[in-house]
Amino acid sequence: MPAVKVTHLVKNFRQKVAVNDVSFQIAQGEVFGLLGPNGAGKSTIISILTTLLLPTSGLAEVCGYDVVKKSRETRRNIGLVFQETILDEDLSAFSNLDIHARLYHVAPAVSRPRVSELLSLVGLTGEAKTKVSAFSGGMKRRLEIARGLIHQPRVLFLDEPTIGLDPKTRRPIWDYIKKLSRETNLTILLTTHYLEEADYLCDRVAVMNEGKISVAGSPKELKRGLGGDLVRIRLAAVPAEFLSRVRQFPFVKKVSLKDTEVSLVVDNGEANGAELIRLVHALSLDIKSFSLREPTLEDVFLHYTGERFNSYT
Amino acid sequence: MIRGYEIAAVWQREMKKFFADPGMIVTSILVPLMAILIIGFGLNRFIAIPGLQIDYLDFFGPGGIAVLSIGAAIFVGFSIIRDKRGYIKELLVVPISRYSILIGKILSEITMQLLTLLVTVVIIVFFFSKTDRGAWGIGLTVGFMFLIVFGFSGFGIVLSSVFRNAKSYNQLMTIILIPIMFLSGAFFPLDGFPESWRWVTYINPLTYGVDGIRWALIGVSEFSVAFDIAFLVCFASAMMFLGAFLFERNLKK
Ligand SMILES: Nc1ncnc2c1ncn2[C@@H]1O[C@H](COP(=O)(O)OP(=O)(O)OP(=O)(O)O)[C@@H](O)[C@H]1O
Ligand SMILES: [Mg+2]
Repeated sequence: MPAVKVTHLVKNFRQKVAVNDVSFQIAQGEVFGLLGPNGAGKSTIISILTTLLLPTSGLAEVCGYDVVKKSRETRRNIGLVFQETILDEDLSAFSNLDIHARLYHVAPAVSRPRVSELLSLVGLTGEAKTKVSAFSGGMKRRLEIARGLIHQPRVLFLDEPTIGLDPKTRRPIWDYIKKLSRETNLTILLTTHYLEEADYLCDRVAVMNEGKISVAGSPKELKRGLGGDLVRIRLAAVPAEFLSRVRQFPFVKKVSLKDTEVSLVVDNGEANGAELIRLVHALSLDIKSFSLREPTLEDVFLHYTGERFNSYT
Repeated sequence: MIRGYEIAAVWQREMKKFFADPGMIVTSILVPLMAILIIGFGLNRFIAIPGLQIDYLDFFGPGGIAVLSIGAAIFVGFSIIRDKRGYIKELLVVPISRYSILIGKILSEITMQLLTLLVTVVIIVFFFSKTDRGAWGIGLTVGFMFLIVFGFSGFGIVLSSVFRNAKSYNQLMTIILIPIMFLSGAFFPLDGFPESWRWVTYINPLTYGVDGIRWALIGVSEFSVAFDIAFLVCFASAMMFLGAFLFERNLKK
């Protein structure tokens, strides 16, 4: 049984189609990332899966429970960190977690040690008695993640868990998330705008655009799917012969020219880059710069969300 | 299904927030106390209630307690609107009944109101008023306060469902509360109103709260106490059902 199963999901807000026939599955224990530009429909999907919104049509199941018909069972099995920070600012970190445990009917004898354990997991043990209003953004985010875990959910939803955090604060949160998914069989669905984050954390990602999933797969697959490495060569002048000779190489997938810069998508860039430099020398061209890089998840994102100034499109 | 622990957890959250804010506690005790004492003493010398051999303070004290009980109406609705933007979402992903959220909030508000008003009532009754009705008078007063708080909390929830932002909620609440307070017989006797205005006082639920508490504390009343109680119970039930219905309907959107 998949932990999350979504089939032909549609959500309309009056005229606006926010989610347009989306289907995907997440296996138990998997970390799944939903990517996409602002307004793509990521949060809407999370709201439906967490019973906060009713779908217009289609089916959504979490842990085998239909989120509409079995909302209570669904809620019992999920934890959620919202895109916006939602905490009781005038209460202490401990009270925030303690009240949450009570709402899930976790007995104090069980919840107290678990609260301490989670506070130490997210590095807030020393701040247990501090009012949340005195916390920094990163501390609040960590506290929210801890709160989402108190009742030991089977699926954790994280809507932009590191939004607005500096790279130094982001890193430990990534590590907590990674540690969690490694050490427990927790399934995680997260959304993010930081593509290195998705690359680092997710087993699989789906790129959404305007309510639809454009592509899904492991970050590695998706990057490979772009066709190869990206080479840029800037010359003093670009003779037509150079372009035609380049096109004859079997490893060159795509060639584009902008001013005096030639962008190429090539197989196995490290070995074949040398081949290209040899050609430059053979034609005695004046080379100004050469760069080679592997595709990133950002390239995948831009490619599938239809960004125009992208070498892959 | 509503379960006790759910209501208790919601209740506990609100109480924790209340006790986490000592300034709030002091304010909510001092403001009603000052209001009653200042108005009561201030007007004591100048106003005689026709037909009754009592001071204005004795007349106004019970009415003031009733008027202050409707503070809950503002606070419950306000706390729901405040949570609407944020914490309510947190409560909605928790596997508890939506009615537990509502009941927990109302009960916590009633608890806070009664706790603070009780201090006021005790101070007024023992230090300033010439009541000789004893403990049962205070007991009956607390009972009436409970009904008033319950009914007007429901009223606050109804209004909070109609208005999404705190500003328009506050504005409308103020406009509605002024006639409710002043046309309740708390500040001056009902027979002082022109005949053509009397009907407003008769449909005003607070009128019956004022009347009931006045009877409980000084033995003076316009209507029978049974009728006061019956009217308030009907009002509270109607508001609660309507409030719960609107609250639930709003969440589904
Ligand atoms: N309650 C609502 N009423 C009307 N339209 C809504 C509502 N919630 C979302 N939308 C619309 O649905 C679309 C998808 O919104 P959603 O919040 O799911 O996007 P998102 O992918 O989470 O974006 P972001 O990255 O900015 O968080 C947007 O166009 C948004 O305007
Ligand atoms: Mg979003």
